[in-house]
Amino acid sequence: MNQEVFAKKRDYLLLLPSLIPLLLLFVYPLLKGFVMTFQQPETAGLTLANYVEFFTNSNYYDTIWRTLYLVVPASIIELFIAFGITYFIREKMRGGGIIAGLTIFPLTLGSIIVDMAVIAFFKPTGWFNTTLINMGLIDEPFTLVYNYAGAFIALVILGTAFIASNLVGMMGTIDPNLERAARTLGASRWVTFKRVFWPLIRSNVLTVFALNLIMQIGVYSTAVIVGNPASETRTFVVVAFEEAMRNFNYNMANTVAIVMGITQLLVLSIVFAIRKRGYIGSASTFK
Amino acid sequence: MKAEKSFPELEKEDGQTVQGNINRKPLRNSRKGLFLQKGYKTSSWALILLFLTIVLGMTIAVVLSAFGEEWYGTFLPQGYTIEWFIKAWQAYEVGEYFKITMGIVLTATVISLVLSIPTVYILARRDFPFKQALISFFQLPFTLPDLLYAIPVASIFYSIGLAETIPGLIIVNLIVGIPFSVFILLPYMESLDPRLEYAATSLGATKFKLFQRIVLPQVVPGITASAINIFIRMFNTFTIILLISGPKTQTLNVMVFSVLQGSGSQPPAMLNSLALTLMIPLLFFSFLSLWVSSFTQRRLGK
Amino acid sequence: MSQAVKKKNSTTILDSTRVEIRNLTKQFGSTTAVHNASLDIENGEFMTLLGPSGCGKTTILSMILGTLQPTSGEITFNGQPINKIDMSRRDIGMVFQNYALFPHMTVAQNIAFGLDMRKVSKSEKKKRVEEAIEMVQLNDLGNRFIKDLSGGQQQRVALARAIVIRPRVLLLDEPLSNLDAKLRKEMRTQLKKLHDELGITTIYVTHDQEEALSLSTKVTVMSNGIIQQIGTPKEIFGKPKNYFVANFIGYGNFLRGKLIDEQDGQFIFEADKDSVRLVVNHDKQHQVGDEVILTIKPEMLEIITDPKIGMNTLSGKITVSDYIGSATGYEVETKEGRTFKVNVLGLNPYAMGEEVRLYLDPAKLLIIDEE
Ligand SMILES: Nc1ncnc2c1ncn2[C@@H]1O[C@H](COP(=O)(O)OP(=O)(O)O)[C@@H](O)[C@H]1O
Ligand SMILES: [Mg+2]
Repeated sequence: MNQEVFAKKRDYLLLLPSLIPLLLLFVYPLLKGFVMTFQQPETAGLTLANYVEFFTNSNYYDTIWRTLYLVVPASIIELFIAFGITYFIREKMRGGGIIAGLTIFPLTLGSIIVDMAVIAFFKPTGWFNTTLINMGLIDEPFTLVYNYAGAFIALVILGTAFIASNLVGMMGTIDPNLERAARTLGASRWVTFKRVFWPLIRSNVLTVFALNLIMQIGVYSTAVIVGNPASETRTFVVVAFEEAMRNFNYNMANTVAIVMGITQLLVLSIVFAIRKRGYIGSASTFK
Repeated sequence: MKAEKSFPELEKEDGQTVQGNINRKPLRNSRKGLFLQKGYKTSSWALILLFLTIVLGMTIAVVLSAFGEEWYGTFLPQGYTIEWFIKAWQAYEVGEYFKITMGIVLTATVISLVLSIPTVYILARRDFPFKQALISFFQLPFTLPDLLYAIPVASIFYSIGLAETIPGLIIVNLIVGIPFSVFILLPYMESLDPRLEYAATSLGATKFKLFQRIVLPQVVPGITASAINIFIRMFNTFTIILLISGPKTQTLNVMVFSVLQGSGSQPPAMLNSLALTLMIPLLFFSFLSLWVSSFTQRRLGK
Repeated sequence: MSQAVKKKNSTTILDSTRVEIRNLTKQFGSTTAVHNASLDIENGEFMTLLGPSGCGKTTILSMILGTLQPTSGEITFNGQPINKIDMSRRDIGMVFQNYALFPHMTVAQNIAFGLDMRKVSKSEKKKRVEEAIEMVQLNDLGNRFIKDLSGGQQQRVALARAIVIRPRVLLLDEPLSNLDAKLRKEMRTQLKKLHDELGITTIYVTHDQEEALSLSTKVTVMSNGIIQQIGTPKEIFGKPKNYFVANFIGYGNFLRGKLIDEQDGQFIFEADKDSVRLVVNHDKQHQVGDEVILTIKPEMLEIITDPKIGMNTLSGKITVSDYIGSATGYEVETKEGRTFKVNVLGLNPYAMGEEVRLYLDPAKLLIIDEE
């Protein structure tokens, strides 16, 4: 009996091969990183200097607004486009699969290729501008790359793909008979959407929206490649990398990262506070 | 709909209501509804066409640019060539970086699997206090923003000399590799028939053949599929690698990013070619998974 | 008793609608789900669409409902074509096979939904919802959410939601198929009572012949998208028109052959396969020379011991015996190599392999056509 218990206890040693590396490589750095934000390079002792610096130097605190100014409008637009497209094609429709596939396609390309593609398409001599010029709509090409607009477009394309990829499955879980029931009871399409479809999918949509928003707050390569990382698209991660790789100031770099994490947390709690105020639960009751 | 309200009820003498013979008003569509529906359809199609035109247009533009001989001011390139690909490949030693990446990721995948399988086994077969909390803990590294641990890890690695080394790159991949393996192997392990273990343990070494015939075929496909997923996941590791990479010790995507970040003077066609080499892993994995599935099917005689 | 009278007084018996379906066809790509169906459902009638799964019942219902557009053909309500009327404007009450109740609303909100759409006044709405809740016996459950109801209760909510709008037509798609046997019977009686009270033109879909028999004033039997027979339950069950209908409603024994002669108001039938000759009563619809099928229900076949009756008997031996509560089902294999299904009331003492004689009463044999 004792033998057996002992053997069972020893089994839990099998957890160690994965736990030890994680403690060393993840938990310890995470804690150390947190402590680092209260330290200065080369000096001992704890101080709030990094945070003071962050919130008093516009070079740092501007990143909050710059990131949010870029990412929040982009993710709202992404949500509208992705929802609009997936809602429209949700019932079996000819070509629906192709439309969904193409909408999600940028995800497989990945951020870097999408960034380059946005440049190729929207640059002053790219198809977008030349078409508009040839149609006589504009005389001078728009400057849509290496600035806010470029990063914005690239974000919208990637974010739409991400949200759409999640929505397609979610919309599939809502029984089309619910909508049919509402319609036969006299509801117009809009009322059916407002009173049946939306309340049922709302909590899931908000979750995906929050996930996407959080991901985009950590935007980096897009801000660097199609944006203007020196000013307009100087996001959290751009600054963090600058501190870490150019100034080798890991303390400041991590301070930026922590502020970013807190921002993400705030955004998340706002979205979830909104989410809590509606129906959260299964879209099917059939027994 | 108005008919509902003025619906007639004829009363018989005995007080029972009876069937009214007066027909209801004829059914009619709502004009407004039809109009709105048209507007909704039109605007949805406009949205879809606009978005897909941009997605397709930019994809084609970047591909054409990478394969175009000379493209300036005209609608299409003057001619097509793979010159830029060869140039980009040679100038940036893409082959070399591809090999380095494969080496790093493959090693990290194997290590992740070896380290996580015992854990997954315990998590799947035993119940203990705080098990759910432990499972949540294993999900943290890939749900938390990677910057939060990447910066201190880089600082630690630089101070102990692991940064800019191949072992260093392999080790940092484990931060996501181990939890991710746990995450995707756990449901698989839970679904396995527990009787398999009894069979396997009672068979002993002498009956290796039986083990090979019965246990292995059930376990191998799932592990292989998981391994491919872990592999893909790590192939795309970016932030932490960028932070600790050296000139010769970086993965393909970090190298491509570094080039694109810093070179305004290169011809765009060459940069686009370089960016498109990032599709190689994608193609590689498509073929790999096709091959693996057909291979396992053939092996298992299904 | 006074309760019942009061209830009757407060319920409105509705004026209802005559539904006509003319040459209705629905194709999905190359498959034809409904083929050239024509049907009349009279004002206040309870019509059942009966047929095996996949025969196109839901498809017909969906076209009446408006969720599907017919490929060709027409549906009219009181003479008015409705093909082009939007489904939200058709004034139909529908009970879906999976009930399709709104999970984010309470029972009362679910039932009130259609009234909200019709902008019924608040007090009227309250009155009608309460009335409907009472009618389906869901008292005190008005504030529950749907997930807290049992399957049977959900079914009642679905019914209440459909009738509270006083629809022109009530459609029910296999509403009882997801309930257990006991509940199913109970709901059946309730449905019947409700129809008697309200008199709404009702189209009911089922694959269960027992339901069709007990509920309907008229039954339509379908197979493979084609209407096989329309008639009262009595007609359908007593005089199935063709092989499919007879087989579907439980005539287990069939003999294909020809009517070769006629004498004394009776036909002489000869089977194709083995030239077995049988006498069958004249049915005024067939004549000598017709290729027909003879059929008889297992419970109409008799196992006899009296050796004197020679006509219309076949001898064989018992190969299967299956006691099913009130009756015993036997299979008898005749010398000619045919198998007959025979149901005998009670637990009869025929042993396996026992030699018996089957008597096919000329009055109980039915002449039907292949198609
Ligand atoms: N939306 C659809 N697309 C293609 N085929 C369909 C569709 N709906 C029904 N069918 C086919 O039409 C036939 C009739 O289906 P249905 O009306 O649902 O049968 P049931 O009598 O069981 O209700 C079936 O063969 C079914 O496969
Ligand atoms: Mg059906």
